[in-house]
Amino acid sequence: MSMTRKLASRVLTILIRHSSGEGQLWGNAMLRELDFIQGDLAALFWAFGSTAALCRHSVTSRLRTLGDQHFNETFQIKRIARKTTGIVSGVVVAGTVLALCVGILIGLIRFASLQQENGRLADRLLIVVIPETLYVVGIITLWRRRKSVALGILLAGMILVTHAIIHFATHG
Amino acid sequence: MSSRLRLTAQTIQVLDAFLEDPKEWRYGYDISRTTGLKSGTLYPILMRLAEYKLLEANWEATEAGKPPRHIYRLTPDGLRAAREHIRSYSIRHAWQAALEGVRS
Repeated sequence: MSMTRKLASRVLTILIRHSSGEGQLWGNAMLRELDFIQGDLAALFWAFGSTAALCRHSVTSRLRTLGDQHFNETFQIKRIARKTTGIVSGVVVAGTVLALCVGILIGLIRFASLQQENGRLADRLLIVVIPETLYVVGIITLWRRRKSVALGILLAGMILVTHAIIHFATHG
Repeated sequence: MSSRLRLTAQTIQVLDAFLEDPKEWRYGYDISRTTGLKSGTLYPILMRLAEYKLLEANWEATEAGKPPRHIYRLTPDGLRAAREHIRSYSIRHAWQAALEGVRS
């Protein structure tokens, strides 16, 4: 084997060693063809061309990997943002329902001048039972279509129940 | 998938070379000689064709003690795409030639 052919083979071998899996496969394919090329100079040019092809392949696949990574990150961020928006909307909906119930209770206390017993019943009904029932209906309805909104409502409902339990435990 | 393949004149040359005898396995150097393309141009085309599953590659065992040689052939999908692409490319080329003839 002449010096030129040896050099051609050496250049390609070094590059193959530093290539990725698929790059190595193609590099070996090009290297193997060297033995069948007539003329040392032609073999050297073949090796240089192959080197360029391998570098191009390596750069392209690296850029593609980076692109995929960026796409995945963007997708993940969008998914988290969508989920957070859904949960916050659920909490806002639950808060609005509770505010409406509190509004009705205040209206009843002011304008209907409820007795203490009736007042306590109305209080429990409008602050705990009705909102919680509405929350359960909302959660069941939205669970399949808008899971994150349903989760937001569930979260608000759980906070309200916990608050009610603590309130009843401490105030009777 | 094949519709996304970038169709350069060199790719057409390579596809044309494979279409000469679609069933026969071809060597890289052999295609290079037929098309006149250098390895730096030929192999990225072969890689792309293989990536789009239009080309199948295999290792052919040669003489004992010598490493195997990479051989290539169009897949049935590749064959269909090659024929389709070459037909549309020829039509486009003919139109361009005709337009240039009219202009001059």
